[in-house]
Amino acid sequence: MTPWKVLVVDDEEGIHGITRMIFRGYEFEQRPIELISAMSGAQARELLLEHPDIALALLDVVMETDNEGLQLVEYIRNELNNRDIRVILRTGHPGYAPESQVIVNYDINDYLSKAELSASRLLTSVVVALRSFRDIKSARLQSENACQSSQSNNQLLQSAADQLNLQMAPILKQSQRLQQFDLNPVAKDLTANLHAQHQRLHNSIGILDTADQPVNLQLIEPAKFLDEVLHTFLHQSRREGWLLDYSLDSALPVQIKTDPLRLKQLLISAIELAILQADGHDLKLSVQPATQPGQLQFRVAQIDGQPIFPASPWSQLLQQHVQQLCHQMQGKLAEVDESGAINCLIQL
Amino acid sequence: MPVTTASAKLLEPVLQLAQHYRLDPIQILDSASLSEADFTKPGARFPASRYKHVLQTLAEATGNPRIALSLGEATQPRMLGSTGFLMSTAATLGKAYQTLIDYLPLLFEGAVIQMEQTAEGTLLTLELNEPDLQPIEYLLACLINWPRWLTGHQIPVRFVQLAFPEPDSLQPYQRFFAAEVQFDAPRTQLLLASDYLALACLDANPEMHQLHREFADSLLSKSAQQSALTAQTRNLIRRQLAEGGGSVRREQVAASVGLSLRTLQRKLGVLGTSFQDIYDQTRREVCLQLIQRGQLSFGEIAFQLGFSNQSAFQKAFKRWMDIAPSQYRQQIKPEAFIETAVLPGHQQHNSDWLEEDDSRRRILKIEQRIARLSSFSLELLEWAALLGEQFGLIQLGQVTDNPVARLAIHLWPAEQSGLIDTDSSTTDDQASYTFSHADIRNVLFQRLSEAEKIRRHYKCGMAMLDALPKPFTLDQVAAVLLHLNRAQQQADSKQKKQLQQLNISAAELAREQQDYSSANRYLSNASRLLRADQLTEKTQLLLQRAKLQLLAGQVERAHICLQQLPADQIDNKDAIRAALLTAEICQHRGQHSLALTHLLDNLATLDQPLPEQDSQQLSLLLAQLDDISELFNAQLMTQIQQPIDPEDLLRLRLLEQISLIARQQAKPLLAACAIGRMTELSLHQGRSPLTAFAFVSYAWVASWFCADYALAQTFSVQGMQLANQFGGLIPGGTDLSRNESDQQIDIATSAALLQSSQVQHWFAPVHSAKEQLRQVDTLSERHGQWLIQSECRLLQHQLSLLSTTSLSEQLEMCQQHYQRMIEQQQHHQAARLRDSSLLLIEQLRGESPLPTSVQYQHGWQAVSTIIGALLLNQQHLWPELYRWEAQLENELAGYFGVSEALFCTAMMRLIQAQQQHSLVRRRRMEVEQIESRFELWARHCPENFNCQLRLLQAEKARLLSQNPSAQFECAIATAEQQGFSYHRALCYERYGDYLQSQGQHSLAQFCLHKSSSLYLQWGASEKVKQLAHEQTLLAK
Repeated sequence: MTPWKVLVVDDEEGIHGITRMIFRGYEFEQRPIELISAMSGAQARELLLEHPDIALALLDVVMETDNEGLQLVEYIRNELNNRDIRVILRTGHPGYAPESQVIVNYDINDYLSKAELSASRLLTSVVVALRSFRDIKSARLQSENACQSSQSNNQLLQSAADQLNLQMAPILKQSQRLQQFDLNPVAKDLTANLHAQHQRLHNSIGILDTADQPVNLQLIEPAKFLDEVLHTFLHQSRREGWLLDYSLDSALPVQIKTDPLRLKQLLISAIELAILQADGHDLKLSVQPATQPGQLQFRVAQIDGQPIFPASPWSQLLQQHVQQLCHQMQGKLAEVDESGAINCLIQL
Repeated sequence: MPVTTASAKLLEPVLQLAQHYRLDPIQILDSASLSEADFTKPGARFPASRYKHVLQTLAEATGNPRIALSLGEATQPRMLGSTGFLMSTAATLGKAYQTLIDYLPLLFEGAVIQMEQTAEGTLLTLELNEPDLQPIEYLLACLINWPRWLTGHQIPVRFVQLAFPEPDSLQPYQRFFAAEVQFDAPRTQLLLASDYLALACLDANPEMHQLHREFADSLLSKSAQQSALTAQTRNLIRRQLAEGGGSVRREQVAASVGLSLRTLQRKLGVLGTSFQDIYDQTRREVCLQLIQRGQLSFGEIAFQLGFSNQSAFQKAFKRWMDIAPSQYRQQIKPEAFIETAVLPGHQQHNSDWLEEDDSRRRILKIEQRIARLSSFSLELLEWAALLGEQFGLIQLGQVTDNPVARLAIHLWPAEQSGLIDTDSSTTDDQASYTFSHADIRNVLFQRLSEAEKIRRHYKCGMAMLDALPKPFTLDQVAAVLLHLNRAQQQADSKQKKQLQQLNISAAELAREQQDYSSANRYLSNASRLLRADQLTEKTQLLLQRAKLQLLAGQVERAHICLQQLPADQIDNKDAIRAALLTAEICQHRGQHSLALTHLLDNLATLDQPLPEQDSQQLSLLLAQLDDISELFNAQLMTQIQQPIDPEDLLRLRLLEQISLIARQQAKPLLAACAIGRMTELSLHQGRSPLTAFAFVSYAWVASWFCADYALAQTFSVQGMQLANQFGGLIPGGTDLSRNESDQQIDIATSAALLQSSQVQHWFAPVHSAKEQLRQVDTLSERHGQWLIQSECRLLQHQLSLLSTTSLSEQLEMCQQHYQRMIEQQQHHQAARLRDSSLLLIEQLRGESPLPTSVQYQHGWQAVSTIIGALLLNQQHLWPELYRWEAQLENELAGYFGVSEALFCTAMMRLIQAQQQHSLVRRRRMEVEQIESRFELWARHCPENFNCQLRLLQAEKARLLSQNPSAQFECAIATAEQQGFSYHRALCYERYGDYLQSQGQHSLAQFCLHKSSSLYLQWGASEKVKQLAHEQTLLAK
């Protein structure tokens, strides 16, 4: 049987030794395990090129450099563009978990502390990772098969989306014009709500739209922009009795250059998703510069209470959409954690 | 006339006081006409006449004219050099004062103190060549203050008289002396109640006293101090009189001061006195003292004072006191005669006369009655006092070596005066008596001089030693040693050796009876009998004593024993023995990391040190594994028996302790290296007492680090076989000599404990550990291995949570064990028990409040907290608890409790995810990880892990919206089989929860009801309450 290839990268000989010992004679799903040892990040890079079919890499974080392991993951994911290979990180301190961001961004399967030397811990960590690798592989096979059949489906959806957009555009324009009339307060309120609903409807239609839109960069004022977006949800929040607050980091420039249309879609979709999870709890939107320069971080979080993650197709669709928008803006959506907070990163 | 001088030591308290007032010391020395350099010379002296200037300077500088009084109060006898030491080592206060009087010239020439017994009490008269108020004040203050330092008692003064004109205000004096103060008196005097003079000095020590006396004598004779000659002569006369020869030989006195008799006479003449005068004066003082003490008849006093006959004595006494001796005695002790008069009418066995008074007056009464006994009766009674509260005539005959002593008749007077009671059940010949009051025995005993006590103890002990059977019991030898140990200085070197052996035997007997403190005392006596150069023996005894103190639970005393070891003259092996004991002490105190460092350092003196770096430790572990796999031959181990090199044994001991502490200190890798080396040593060198421990521990290494369950199981089986065979775990399994088997049991218990805590449950049902732990508990109790016992009890309580024993029963046991640990000063272990099982049981029973937040403290606490947080549904704590896993796993590596905690945290994640309808990726990863481990563990031991695995799988299926009913049913079935207390209840509870969510209410009701009744049966009333509450909420 073809063995499972497991790459072990560590500058300590002992780790290789103990790993070899634990896995000698071990089989996962009737396939033996082949350990490939690398003593450094550099050697690991060579071996990765040599063995493209490696299923799992056990990486020491600190080797030549303090985050050699993380750089290796980046190399695997971004340069080799290998999203399938499973990664287990070894970190220095017991109980130390790397930032959840790291795990999510680099799609890391597990982290082991160097002091965690229980054989059963390592064994099961590897088994879980291999199982996950197996699932990814089979899912990929399935989706390749499914791809052809869904092609025609997609075309149908796209033409429907185009048609809906076409019909939506004048409605939106008219409800916006209605705002400019000098109406009595009741009518003004009604028209404002109507426009907000139209905007959300427009955004929902946009989710069906898979066609790439051209990028249109403009200078915007974040505060003004956010006011406008939040206004869209004012009616619902009043009716249901919750709050949607926002805060802008003082380090933000007064004007930023971005694609306002996409950003609006992103924010509205993210808030739509957060509303579903929060189930009536108050929300807060915060905007701040990301740790990496040139990036902006949006975060929609629940102020109190436990989130509920609805398993409906609509919420999944929303999540996919947000993710897609983030990618289009050269950023990413962080995996939703237990607090339910939605973290988006975009490039400016 | 030459200048009289005073000891510069007198300036020490002055300088101390001066420093307190921030005065310049030079100024003080100036006023004493002393340069700083001269002052620091040993034996420095200054002109006595300057002393008043010194005090004047001090008074002016402090603005306190009565500063001399305060100075006297601040002066401790010990500050004053040899005179002070002489005083403090004297037997009684009276003797201390007498010493001061005799050696006062050393301190302050030209000062004389006289002590007289009068009807009112003891009168101290103070005379100075140059009578100035301040030095007089100072010395008076000293005389009043010193009893406090010497005896620990403050002594009231009856009156104080000063031969000085009355000052403006008497108040400061009255306040200071707390007595009537009179000025314009003929002499400076103070009066004390005489009984105080019998108070024993706190630092009384006849040997030291003798030493200081010799030194002081040499000072006296060396110096040309004239007035000292008088004191010295007086002192020598007094001593010759006390030695009881009767006559005083003048030539001998002269020779003792290094002069011919003629020169002595001449020099005394220069001082305006004569030998005859001094002799007469001294005899008078001694005579009055003897009458006061009341022990001797006038005939005996006359003899002791060297009078050739009674009438010469009578004549002399009349000359001294103007009255006859009997009249004098009547004056000072009128009470005695009244009592004699009423004696015939007294009820013999009535001890009423002893009960009503306060103790001081009781003692006085006893003394008076004793004084009336004939000297032979008294002597017999004194012997009896040595023998104990109860004594028999035969014994008396034996110890006095005098057949006459066997006649009851001699004890009648004592019986009649109510001092002793006869035991009516015995015949005359074997009559036995008891003292009517414990004080009587004390008084009798205290009357004896130190030397006499020693002599009698010696005689008594030697007589008993002759009668000692062989082999003897502890009680028998204890009685002999009671006497002989007090008379050690009487023994010759051969006897000393014998006595030493006896003490060591007694210590062994006492240790067997677990009377560790007595055993220690005997060894301490044995060590006192060693010559100063017997260092090795001394070290051995100290080490044994430290061990005994630990057995007795006296951690601090054990520490003191070890501190007495001669650090630089101790051989390597003993140093390691000491290190092992030190480590044990540290563990008792909870200083585990200190203990570990200490042991590692000591190992390095014997052996390759163990590596410090994780990576090196890992490499060593692998190398060891290769070596061991190659060497290990399952067939041979129980048969190999090889003499063990004591050094190897020590090395093994060190490694054993290192492995245990390292494991506790969350350094499992270091522990594994130590164990690996022990195993290698055992395999290379053959069986040693520690092989069982090494093998069982290696079973842990093999299973925990290497996942080599087959190897682990073989080692575990081999190790336990050795422990059972040679370690007394199976009663009657061995017939080794006492010592050897003791040592092996030590090791067998620690092997068995380790197997129960880290190995057994991976292969065998957890319940089977119970019996073994009970055995370990009993054995460690029997052998005083308190650390092993408390560790064993921690584990027992952790595991018994899984048993069906009711929580109330567990709680009771747990509290008992907790108390026990506290009593044994094991605060560290006690805290662990309290934070873990004790707290959890109380919480489950609703007796302790549930925490609002928790912090990781130690593994034991972590396991209990996690279990409690799951069972009692404290969801706000859960996210914090997930973070504890890695730390916990390192601290209790291989313990069953860890698997249980992991099961609970996985359950928490799953339950929380169900509420959120989603399991975030990271949590899913963690759950899958734990689930896989249970899969692995369940493969090797389904009895212990299957139920948990099934329940986890059921919860996961529920989360993934698959129908989990079959898995829940399966979990319940395995739980019923497995029989762990709360697992069954938990399975029903979770199944009920699921059914409820599916709308299957009646089935849900059934499950929840079942769960609730199981919890109730267990005794978790708080949990039952929670369930009931939830159900009422649901019903709404």
